[in-house]
Amino acid sequence: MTNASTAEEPLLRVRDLDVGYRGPFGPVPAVRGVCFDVAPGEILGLVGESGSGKSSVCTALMGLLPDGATRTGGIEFQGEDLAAMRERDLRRVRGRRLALVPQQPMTSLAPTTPVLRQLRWYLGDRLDDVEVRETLIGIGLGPVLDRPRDLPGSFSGGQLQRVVIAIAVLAHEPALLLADEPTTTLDATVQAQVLRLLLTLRDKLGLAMVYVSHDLAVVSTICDRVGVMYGGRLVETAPVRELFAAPRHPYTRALIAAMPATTPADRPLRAVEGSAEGANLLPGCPFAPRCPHVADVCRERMPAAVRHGAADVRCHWVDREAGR
Amino acid sequence: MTNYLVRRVLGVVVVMFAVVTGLFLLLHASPVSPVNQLAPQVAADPVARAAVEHRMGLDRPLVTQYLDYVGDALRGDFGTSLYDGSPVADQIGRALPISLELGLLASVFAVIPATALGAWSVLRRGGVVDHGTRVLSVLAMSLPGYWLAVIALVVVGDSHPDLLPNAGGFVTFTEDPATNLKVLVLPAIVLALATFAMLTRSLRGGLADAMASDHVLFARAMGGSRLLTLRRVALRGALVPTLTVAGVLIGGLLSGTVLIENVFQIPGIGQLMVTAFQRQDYPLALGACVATSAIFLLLNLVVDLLYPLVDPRTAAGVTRDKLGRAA
Ligand SMILES: Nc1ncnc2c1ncn2[C@@H]1O[C@H](COP(=O)(O)OP(=O)(O)O)[C@@H](O)[C@H]1O
Ligand code: SF4
Ligand SMILES: [Mg+2]
Repeated sequence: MTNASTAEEPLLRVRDLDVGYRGPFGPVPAVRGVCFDVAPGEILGLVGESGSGKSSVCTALMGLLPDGATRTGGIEFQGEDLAAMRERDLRRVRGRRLALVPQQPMTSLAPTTPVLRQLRWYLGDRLDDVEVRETLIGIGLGPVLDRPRDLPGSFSGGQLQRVVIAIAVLAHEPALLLADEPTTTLDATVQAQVLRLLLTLRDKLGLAMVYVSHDLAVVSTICDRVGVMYGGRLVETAPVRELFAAPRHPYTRALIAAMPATTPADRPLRAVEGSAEGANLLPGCPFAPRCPHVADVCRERMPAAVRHGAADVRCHWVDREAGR
Repeated sequence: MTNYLVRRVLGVVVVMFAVVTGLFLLLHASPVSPVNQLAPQVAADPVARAAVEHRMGLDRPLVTQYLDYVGDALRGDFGTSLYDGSPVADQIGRALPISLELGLLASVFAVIPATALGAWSVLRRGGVVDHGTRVLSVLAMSLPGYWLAVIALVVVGDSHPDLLPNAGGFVTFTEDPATNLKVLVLPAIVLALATFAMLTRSLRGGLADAMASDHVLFARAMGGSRLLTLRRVALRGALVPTLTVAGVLIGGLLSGTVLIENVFQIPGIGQLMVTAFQRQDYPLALGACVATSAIFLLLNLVVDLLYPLVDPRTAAGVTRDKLGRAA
C-alpha cells in the first residue's frame, strides 16, 4: 500500500490555481481554478486558443508572473509547496529541478551577448565535455559551437529554440520542463526536429513535461495526457487516446471536429462559432456563449470536475448525459 | 567596426566645420561689430572708421575673412580679443579647464547616484526606494536651476561661506586643489540635479522594460537572481537609450553653463562667452562658441564609440535608429 502510493505520487500537483493581472479597472482573471497533476516522466499537453491562459499557468508555476499580477492556489512539486516558498529558495528550484522554455524562442536569449557565451553561462565547464558537445552537435547546434562570437540575431529561430531547450534541459537535467509553445513559430521541418529533440531528451533523461500548444495535432503526436483550456479554465483532462476517441466536453469536441485530419474531405472544415473574448470574466461556464448544449445553470455556476471514464470533465451537459 | 569608427569621426569633423561656418556667418550678419566699440567721435567720422575697419581686415571680402579665420583656427589661432588685445586662445585655455572640471564633477554627481538609484528602484519595484527615487527625480527636474542656485547661494552662503567661490576669488585646481574642489562642490551639485533626474528616469525606464522582456524571463527561469539577471542580461540593452541621453546632457554640463557659472562667479567658458557678447568682442565670442561646440561634439563622439562596447549589435551594422525602435 505504501509502495503503491509513493509510486503514484505525482511530480507536480496543481490545485485551484488562480492568476489575475492588473487591468485598468481592477484585476483581470487569466487563470481560474485550474487543477492538474503531472506524473514523473509524463508529457502533459495543455491546449487552448490564444488567451486561454496557458502561458500564465507556466509563469505562475515558475513564480515569475509580472509585477502587479496575483496568484493563489497550491503548487506542490516534488513534495514541496512552491506557492509558499520564499524567492531565495525558489531560485534553487528554478532551472535546476523545474525549467521553462518560454514562448518566444527568438527573444529568449540576451540579444547583446554571443550565443556561445550564454551557453557557457548556464552549462559552465560542462560545455567542454565531449559528451555534452556531442549532444549539442547531435541536435544541430554545431554552428553555435563553431561561431563563438555570433549574437542571437545571426542564428535562425529554429537554432535559437534548440539552444534555449538545450540550456533548459542540459544545464541541470530538471525533473519537469514547462515548454510553452516551443514549436509554434517554427516551420514544419524544424518543428519536427524540435519535437524529436524533446522526445529524445525525455527518453534519455526521463524528464516530465508540460507541453503547451494551441495545435491539437502536435499535441497528439507527443503527449501522454492532454488538458484543454478555455477562458482561463481547464475544462477537460484526459489521456490522449481517450481524448481523441471519446472527446466529452463540447469545446473539446468542437476542437477535434475542426482538425483537418478528422474532418472527412466531403465535409467543410468547421471552426467553432463565436469568439472567446471575455470568456475569462464569465461567472459560470466560460464556453456558455458558444456552446450548443448550454442550459441556464451553465451561465450561473461553473461545473465541478467529474471523472468520466479516464477523463476529468467540467460540464453540466456531460454530467447530465452520463447520469441518464 | 573600423568602418563605424571612421564614419563617426568623419561625421564630427563635418559637423564641426558646419558649426564654425554657421557661427562665423551669424556673427557677421548680426549688428555685433567691433567698430561699435570705438569712441563716438571715431565712429562718427567715416574716414577714421574706414581706417579702423581696414586695419582690422573687416573691409576684405567675407570669403577671404572666413578662409583666413578657418586657416588660423586650424593652427590654433583664434585671433585676439578686441577688448584687451590678448590672444583668444589663451583666454579660452584659462576658462575651459575650469568649465571642464565643474562639468566633470557635476557628471560624477549625476551619473553615480542615477545609476545606483535607477538600478535599485527597478530591483525593488514599487518599494520605498522606487517611490523615493520617483519623487526625488520629479523634484530635481522641476525645480528651476537658477532658483536652486540662488537658494543654495543664500542658504549655504550663510552657514558655510567657505564653500562659495566669491568669498575670496576663484582658486584654480593647480593653485590649491582642496580649496578649488571645496568651492566647486556646491555649484556642481546644483548643476548635476536635472541631469541626475533625467538619467535616473531614463535608466529606470529602460531597465524596467528590459526586466519585463523574454530574455530576462528565461534567465530568471534558469534560477538567476534579479540582480544577476539585471547585470548580465538586462543592462546592456537598457543602457543604449540612456547613453544617448547621457551624451547630450553631459555634453551640456562640460561645455560650460552660463547660468551656474554666473551665479557662483566661476570664471569658466560660459562666463567668458557672456562677457564677450556684452563687450561685443566678437573674436572672443566666436572662439568661445567654437570651443563649446567642440567639447560637445567630442563628447558625443566618445558616446558613439561606446555604443559598440555596450551593445555589440551596433558594431554588427545595425543602425542606432533600428535599435531604438526595437527597444
Ligand atoms: N502581462 C500581462 N498583463 C496583463 N494581462 C495579461 C498579461 N499576460 C497575459 N495577460 C492576459 O491573460 C490572459 C491569458 O494570457 P496567456 O496566459 O498569455 O494565454 P495563452 O498563453 O493561452 O495565449 C489573456 O487574456 C491575456 O490578455
Ligand atoms: S457547462 Fe454548459 S455551457 Fe459549459 S460546456 Fe457544458 S453544456 Fe456547454
Ligand atoms: Mg501563450
